[in-house]
Amino acid sequence: MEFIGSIFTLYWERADWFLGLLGTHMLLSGIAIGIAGVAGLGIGVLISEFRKAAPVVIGICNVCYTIPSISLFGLLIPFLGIGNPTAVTALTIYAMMPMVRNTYTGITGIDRDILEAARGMGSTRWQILWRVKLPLAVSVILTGLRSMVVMTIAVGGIASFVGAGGLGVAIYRGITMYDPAMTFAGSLLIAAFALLADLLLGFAEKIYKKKRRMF
Amino acid sequence: MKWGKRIFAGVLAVALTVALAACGTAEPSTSGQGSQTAQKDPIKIATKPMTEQYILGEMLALVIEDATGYPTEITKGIGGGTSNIHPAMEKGDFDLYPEYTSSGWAVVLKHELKSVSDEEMFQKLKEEYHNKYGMTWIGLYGANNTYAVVVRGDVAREHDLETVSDLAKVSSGLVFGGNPDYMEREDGFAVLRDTYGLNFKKVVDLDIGLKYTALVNGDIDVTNGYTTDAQLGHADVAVLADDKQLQANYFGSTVVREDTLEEYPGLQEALEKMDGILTDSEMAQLNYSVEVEKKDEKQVAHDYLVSKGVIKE
Repeated sequence: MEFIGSIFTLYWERADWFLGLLGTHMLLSGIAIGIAGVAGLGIGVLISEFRKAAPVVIGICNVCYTIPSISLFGLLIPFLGIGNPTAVTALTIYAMMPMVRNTYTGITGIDRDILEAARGMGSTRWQILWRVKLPLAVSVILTGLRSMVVMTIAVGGIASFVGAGGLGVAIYRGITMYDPAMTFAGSLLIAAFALLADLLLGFAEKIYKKKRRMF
Repeated sequence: MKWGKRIFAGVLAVALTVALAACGTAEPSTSGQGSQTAQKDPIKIATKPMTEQYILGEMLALVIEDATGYPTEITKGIGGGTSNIHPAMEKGDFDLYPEYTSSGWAVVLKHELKSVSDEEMFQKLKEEYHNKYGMTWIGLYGANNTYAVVVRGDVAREHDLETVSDLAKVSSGLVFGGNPDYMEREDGFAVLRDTYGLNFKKVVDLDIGLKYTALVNGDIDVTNGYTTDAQLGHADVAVLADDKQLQANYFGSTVVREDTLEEYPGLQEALEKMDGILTDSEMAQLNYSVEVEKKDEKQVAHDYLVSKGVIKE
């Protein structure tokens, strides 16, 4: 109980500081999510249309994804220096994989007969993609998006290692100062932010599906 | 039959206890059966996550092994330094580690910094560590690893900076980067900022190992360095004078558990050999050999101790 009390004392006494960190965290992860969301979707669509490129592209994404996050941040320092650009780049590289893969899986998993029927009705390639493939793949793509968002917000906690802001600053200070309350206070905000983002996306997904009568 | 066995066992237990007590060894009871000549457990040495501590850790191990032959085991780079090593020392996870006087004074004992003279502080450190934790401080290496405000060379030249007070006049156009514990601790950044009225354009938290890279690359303009940092005197950076005498002195020494000293006769004498063997610039040079010239820290420690005649070739 005392521990929880000390966390809330921290929030209260240093509200501005924590809000600032939360703001930076939202900005950093938001930019990465935006870039990876759009680019990942685009690449996923492209490799499902041009399948020969798929194994190579997915292979590259997989390799990037397996680099431990702390070393990815470290590897980028010689090129981008320290600070926010490095953090956003690393987070974006991480976020690409789930987006590309889920978009690809979603589109390639569609029943061939449906596509055959669409072609038979005289639809162009673009119409098939836009009117048939993407709407049918949306569930799988959204699942990828949601897990990507939660992951990016969480991994953003390590960004402070390379001098970027965000709630990782509180976590890192807590660790180096042997102050578990500080570490927990930072982690709790990250978890709350990630959960909230996931809930909002879930809500948006529901509305979208209702509209398209997908239930 | 049954009772006979129990009585026999009881007598045997008492006899063994008496025999062990008579031996008067400090061996833990679990290995009480072992003979006196059996290998002792290694002496466990901890270090903070910085090059200087790795070198000092190797030196301590070399001095101990050379003088006493006891095996040692170094755990390098405990994150957070003092605040994480001290609790582990209390638990007995480690036997000794290189520490700095004012760190023990402020972080462990929670005393006001600079409230006493350096000599008085060392006496009180020994006293209070003995009373509170059953630990003591042995020997002063000679080097004083205190805080220094470091700026990039071109910034210093452009604004003609010599003291931290000079820096205050131009700080609003500069970026400060410091390691997280310096940014958070009470005797750290906040005191520096308030004492000199510094008002930086931006302040960032940075891992301790990245500070000089970031400084030289221009990601930050000012950082908190230490007087024994490898890059001082080699990279294009300038140390600003602490013209308001803000910083306390941090003399290197060894903190050791007293029960370890009892268990390993001769250890105390071995550790005393570290007394007065290093100056700030010698320490900085050793750090440079390891950090920049990429030499092996054990080799660097070994060569230095041999050159000072502390250990045999």
